[in-house]
Amino acid sequence: MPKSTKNIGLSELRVGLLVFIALAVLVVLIVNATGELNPFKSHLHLRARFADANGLREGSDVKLAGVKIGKVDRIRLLSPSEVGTGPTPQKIETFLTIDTKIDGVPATDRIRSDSTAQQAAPSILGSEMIVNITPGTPLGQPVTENFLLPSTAGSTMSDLATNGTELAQKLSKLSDQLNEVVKQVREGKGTVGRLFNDESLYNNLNATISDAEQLANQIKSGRGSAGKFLYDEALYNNANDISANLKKLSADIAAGRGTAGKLVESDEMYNKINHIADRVNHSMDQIDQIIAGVNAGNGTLGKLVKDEAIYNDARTAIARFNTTTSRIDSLVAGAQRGEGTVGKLITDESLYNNVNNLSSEGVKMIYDFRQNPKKYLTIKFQLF
Amino acid sequence: MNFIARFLFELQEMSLLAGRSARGIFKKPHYVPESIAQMDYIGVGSLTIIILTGFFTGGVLTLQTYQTLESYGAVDQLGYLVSISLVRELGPVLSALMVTGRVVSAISAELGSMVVSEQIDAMRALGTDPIRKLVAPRILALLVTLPLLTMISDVMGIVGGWAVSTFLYGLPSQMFLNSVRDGITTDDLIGGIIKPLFFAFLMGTIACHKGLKTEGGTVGVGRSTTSAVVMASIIVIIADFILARALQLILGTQT
Repeated sequence: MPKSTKNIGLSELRVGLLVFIALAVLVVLIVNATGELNPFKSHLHLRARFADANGLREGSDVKLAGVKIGKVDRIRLLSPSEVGTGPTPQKIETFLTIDTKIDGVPATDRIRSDSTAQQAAPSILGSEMIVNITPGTPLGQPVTENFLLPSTAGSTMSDLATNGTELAQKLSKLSDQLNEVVKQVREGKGTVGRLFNDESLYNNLNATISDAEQLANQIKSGRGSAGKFLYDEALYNNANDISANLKKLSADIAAGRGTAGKLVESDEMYNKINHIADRVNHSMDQIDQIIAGVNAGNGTLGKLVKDEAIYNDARTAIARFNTTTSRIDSLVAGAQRGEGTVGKLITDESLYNNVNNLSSEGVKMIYDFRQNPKKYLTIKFQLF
Repeated sequence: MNFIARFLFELQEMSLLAGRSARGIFKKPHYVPESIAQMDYIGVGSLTIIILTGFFTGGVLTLQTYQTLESYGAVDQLGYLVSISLVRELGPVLSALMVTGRVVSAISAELGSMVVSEQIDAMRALGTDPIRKLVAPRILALLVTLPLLTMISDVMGIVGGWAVSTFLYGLPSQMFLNSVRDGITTDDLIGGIIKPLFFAFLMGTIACHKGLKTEGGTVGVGRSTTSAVVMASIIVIIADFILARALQLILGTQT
């Protein structure tokens, strides 16, 4: 330990130097353990344009799919000539400083030309904003220095608030309607209202349930058809007997006993029926032939069906018959009018009168004859 | 003798003193009665100022943060905020600064007077190592008592916060205590004990070094006392920053 501090060389400060360097290294290591302060780190610079900075500032985080990869280096307002047209023109440009390597992979492999940048709010509180970049797909090209990333509109708090307001209005309307429904239900209107307020359904249900309970009890105690069905063995026994009989019957049938058994077991019946069917078949064939003949116009029946001569003859005959009838009609009409002999005969009473006179004269004569037959029966044989 | 050389020389002297005193703590001879007397003086003697500063620090922290938290509707997190601040930072640092003001000055002045009145030289002449006899017990006493004082300060701070929140702001006392219980983790407590250990070692080393390096009679005693307190305070705060960072990394509380 030097007594005087006036003249000391570096060789006497070895421990001090060592401690100082050790402490300095330790402090640097501790403070910079996450590697934030690295002047030798190389960076990739990218650009992105947005409509509004929206709380984005120099030093805001830049994230790739949510993982921090860099910071916003600078923000500048675009000059009027650079501002694009459209519904939401992009008015600011951000310069992003991004680590050249992200988790050991070059940033240009992760961020590609089809990556997009969005603004995002990491917290509901505060106006802090970040830039989030979506990872690129193999379809895109690796980005180059100062590449202008396409940007998409992110969801900001104000958007959320706007959507929320719309939603709230819709919900409010819905709740009004629900209020109305509930009010009507409370007043006992409508089916649901009745369901809630009218006790008759409950009473009916209650009565039904008690009836059902009673019924179940009766059934349990073996009363009534259902009770008998469940508890009386007679039906079972009968059914058992029937099934035994059926069993016996089927056994008989199987053994070929009785008519049904013969029917089932014997071939004779089948053969006969088969034979009849054959004959019917044969007859049908013959009928077919006859009909074919008729169709072809052969034979009397065929002629009758197919030959038009008979039809024509009949037509002529009917026409002539019609003529005859009309003539008879006119003849009768003439007779009725007293024309002709027949007409006179029918209409002129003189013949009748004459005949009548004749008859009365005849009667007189017959009477006279009877009185004096000799007057008339004087037969004089005169031979020439 | 330029500034850098002086600085390096001071650092070297202090490192050597620290090394020797550390060896003195573990190696015989142990001056146990001296150590216990120092613990009594440093620990029990500092209890009053530690309790008072702890209580009112917690109280004023609650007083100032309550309104901010209220504007966010997060008053139920008050105990969390107050207890985390106290256990992680304010407890260790304020206790260290209070002890610096009270104890570092005392040690530095005592050793300085001994140097000036040549008692140290007499001790050396009698074959007693002044570092083992005087420095090691004081550093050991600081190492033992400062963490304990810090814990007391933490507890008193939480009590102060609870008192203010309950009696001044009418917060349900259970709400404050529940958020304290939910907020503090074992990592916070471990960090709150590791820091005072470092502070105690640094403070003890600086106090003893400055005391033993006193030159120029009674005036020199005053100068060395002043520089010891100033240096210890600055080193405590710088070390607190580095330790906080290191503990964040080690305990994984970094967000």
